[in-house]
Amino acid sequence: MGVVLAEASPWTYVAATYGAAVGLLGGYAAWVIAKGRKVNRQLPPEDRRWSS
Amino acid sequence: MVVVTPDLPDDRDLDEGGLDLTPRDDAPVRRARTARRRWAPIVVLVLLGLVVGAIALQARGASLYFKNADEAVAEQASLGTKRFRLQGTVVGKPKEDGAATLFKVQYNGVDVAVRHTGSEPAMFKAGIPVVAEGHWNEAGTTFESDRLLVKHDADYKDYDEEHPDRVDEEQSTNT
Amino acid sequence: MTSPSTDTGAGLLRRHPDGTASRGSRILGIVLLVSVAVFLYVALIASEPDKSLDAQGQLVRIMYIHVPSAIGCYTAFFVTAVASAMYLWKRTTGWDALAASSAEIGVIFVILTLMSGSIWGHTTWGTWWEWDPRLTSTALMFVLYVGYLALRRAILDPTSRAKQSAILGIIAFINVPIVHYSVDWWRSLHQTATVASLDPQIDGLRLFALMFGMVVAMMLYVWLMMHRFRLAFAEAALEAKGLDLALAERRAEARADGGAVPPSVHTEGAS
Repeated sequence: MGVVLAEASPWTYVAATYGAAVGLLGGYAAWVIAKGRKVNRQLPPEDRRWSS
Repeated sequence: MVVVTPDLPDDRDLDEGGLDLTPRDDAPVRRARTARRRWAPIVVLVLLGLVVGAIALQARGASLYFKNADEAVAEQASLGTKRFRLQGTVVGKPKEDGAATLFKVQYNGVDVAVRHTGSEPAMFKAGIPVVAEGHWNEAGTTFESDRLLVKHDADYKDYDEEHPDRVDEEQSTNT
Repeated sequence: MTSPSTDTGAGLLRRHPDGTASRGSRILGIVLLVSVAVFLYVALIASEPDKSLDAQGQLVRIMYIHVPSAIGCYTAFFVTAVASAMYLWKRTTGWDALAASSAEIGVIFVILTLMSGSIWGHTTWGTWWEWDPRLTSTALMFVLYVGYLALRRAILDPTSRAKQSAILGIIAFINVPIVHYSVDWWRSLHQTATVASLDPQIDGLRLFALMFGMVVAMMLYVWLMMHRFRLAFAEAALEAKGLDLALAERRAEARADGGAVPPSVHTEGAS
């Protein structure tokens, strides 16, 4: 009898996927926000042309 | 780098305490940095080309990823004992034979007997399309497989029991 | 509307004075957060596990992440290609910043697509990776856009960087339709599109989770783009300022040197 793969609980894989999604997207969003503040601090407000 | 206000040019002599504005000292350094920067995009593009090439090489034969059971039988003579991937739907209950699993795959009404040794995906069972990697045995009667993958199809509707028309469905999507 | 530095909103709409948020991005952000909560509830709790013949069981939930993130990266790379073409036509910083921002977000989405797909492959097919047409072309897409981002970092001059990356941004997109249609054009281990046909083989809350996941991915893309584009624009402004400063220095040097101005200084100052 061959060895059966994927003996771990399916929820482990589901949790890994959703954890990766939240971690990756959340981490990236946090990095963009933090870097945006850092770069903007070096610019006078009149140069932030996108602001409304 | 010396910072000078544009409106106040410092034109005193050097020995009178004037600023040394000769850019010649760091000019070679700057030129070297610029030269390295000029090469950087080329290095990036060459690396990119190499990786793309490596992937293309890795994927040779990806355009014909598997042979269906009927093709494997039709081309049996030319295939010999050459390694290829075989696709078909598992028909009947798989049987165990020591370390091996015996089962049949079917495609387009043609059956191929498979003798698989090695690990099995958890989802492997009757009625499921699979891709087996291996070769025909010397006699050309059995496909000797050592790698077995489940070919999942995009069907998530509820079924209470096994569908007899599943084999036909699979055939219509893989021609 | 009042000046950008003073109007930072109140309550939930209150924004950091140095941040990249605007009133619009904040409202979208709030809608997005609520949608994410609804999506997670439907995808993880409310929807039934898969009970079809090749039963995925709970594993079907991986698809609600995998498919939307794939749609997200297609969209992102499409925007990069369009913005790249627009840059080559208009030659303005905004289009270049838009192309770069979209490519970066696209790469994040590809990473997520590859990770979730790999987990799915391990549990369903019995392999983490397989060189089949869909997976191979996706790997190619990932490498091409990482190369695009690397190229941007390798070129110092903003104008030549924008031009060269715009060309790569258009060339790389050729592969994107190949990724999408690979499962129809060639035999693939990967299944064909689930909801492309008029009779999708998925129903009920499972279909809703999948479709709503795509809506959330689109909202997330737009929200990330608003912030990332503003960051890219600010970086470009900072870069231009740095360049102005350097030019002023060189002009000062030239003036200080009096009549003995090397010709090279003149050309650089003029460009």
